[in-house]
Amino acid sequence: MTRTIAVANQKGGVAKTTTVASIGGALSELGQRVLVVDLDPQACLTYSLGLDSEDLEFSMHDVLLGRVDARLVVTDTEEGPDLLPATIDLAGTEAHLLTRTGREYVLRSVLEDLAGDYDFILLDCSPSLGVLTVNALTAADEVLIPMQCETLSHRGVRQLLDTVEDVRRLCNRDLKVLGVLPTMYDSRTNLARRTLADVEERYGLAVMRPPIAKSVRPAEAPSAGRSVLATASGSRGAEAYRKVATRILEHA
Amino acid sequence: MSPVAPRPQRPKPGTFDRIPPADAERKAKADPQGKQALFSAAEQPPSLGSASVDCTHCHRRTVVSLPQLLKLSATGVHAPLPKKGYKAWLKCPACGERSWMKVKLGR
Repeated sequence: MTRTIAVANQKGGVAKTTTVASIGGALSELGQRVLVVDLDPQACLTYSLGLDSEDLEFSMHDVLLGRVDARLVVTDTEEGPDLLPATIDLAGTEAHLLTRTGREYVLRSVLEDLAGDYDFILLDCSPSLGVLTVNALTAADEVLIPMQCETLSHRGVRQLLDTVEDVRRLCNRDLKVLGVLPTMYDSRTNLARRTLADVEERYGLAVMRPPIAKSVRPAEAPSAGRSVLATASGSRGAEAYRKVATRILEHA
Repeated sequence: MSPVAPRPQRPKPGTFDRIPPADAERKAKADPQGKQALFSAAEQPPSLGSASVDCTHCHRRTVVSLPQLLKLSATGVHAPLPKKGYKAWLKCPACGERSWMKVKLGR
């Protein structure tokens, strides 16, 4: 059965895209059939996996507007997972969907058609609360929350949990929080340790371990169009993402 | 006596005192033109001249006009069973599947 996981945090710059690319790659290494979906008009996941969004004939924009079948847009990547890519036009999709009845369910309908082809579908959400993020949370079975261990990210978790409650109440009562993934974690700072402890205690959320340590390696990878698993395979970041992917697999 | 009221003490940097506890009541009002606008399921309750239909298949609520409801009912069945409140076997305007629906007329 397919597990659909939304990687979401309304706060920007917390490594959502890096997490999707890396966990997607790690799950592929573990023999899983993986689809990653770029739901950010900035198309960072698309770029990170080696595609230039300017060169794409079709993208998630066309899929969500019902212009083209998702299977025609899915592309394979060197990293391993299949990709549903994005372009800047997704910004317009958001505006178009906003007036539509049943706007929360568009992505769910698209993914239902693809579900049998994959073991995991990972949704890379945009760093804002909009129709596309609500679509992702409505289509997902679980949500993984990457969190940089500092105050504003902590606050972002609270805001996202409020949204998760809304989604459960209104359109996806079965949505589960898989946990918080600490990213850019610097264990030398008190703030990082206290943030993590407070989030764990305050919300009773599972914290995925090991945390992804602060390092330049994952940030370097997108320029090569691969994840850190390929560009710095033996690095601490790559190993941490592999362990987290294994935990997610075992969590089923 | 100082004419200036003392400032409230600021929380210390690096603490989380300003983040409300998990069980705090949410202050956000259900403004249909605010965050709730993201959810079509949260749209305004049916007003006079409209009705809401709740689908047991897709769990969505759709607000339809009375002529739309009549059109849906023309090819449907109304019965007191099987589930309390879900008395109409109709084609859901949201998911397109036939299932038991709860129909509520606006007032």
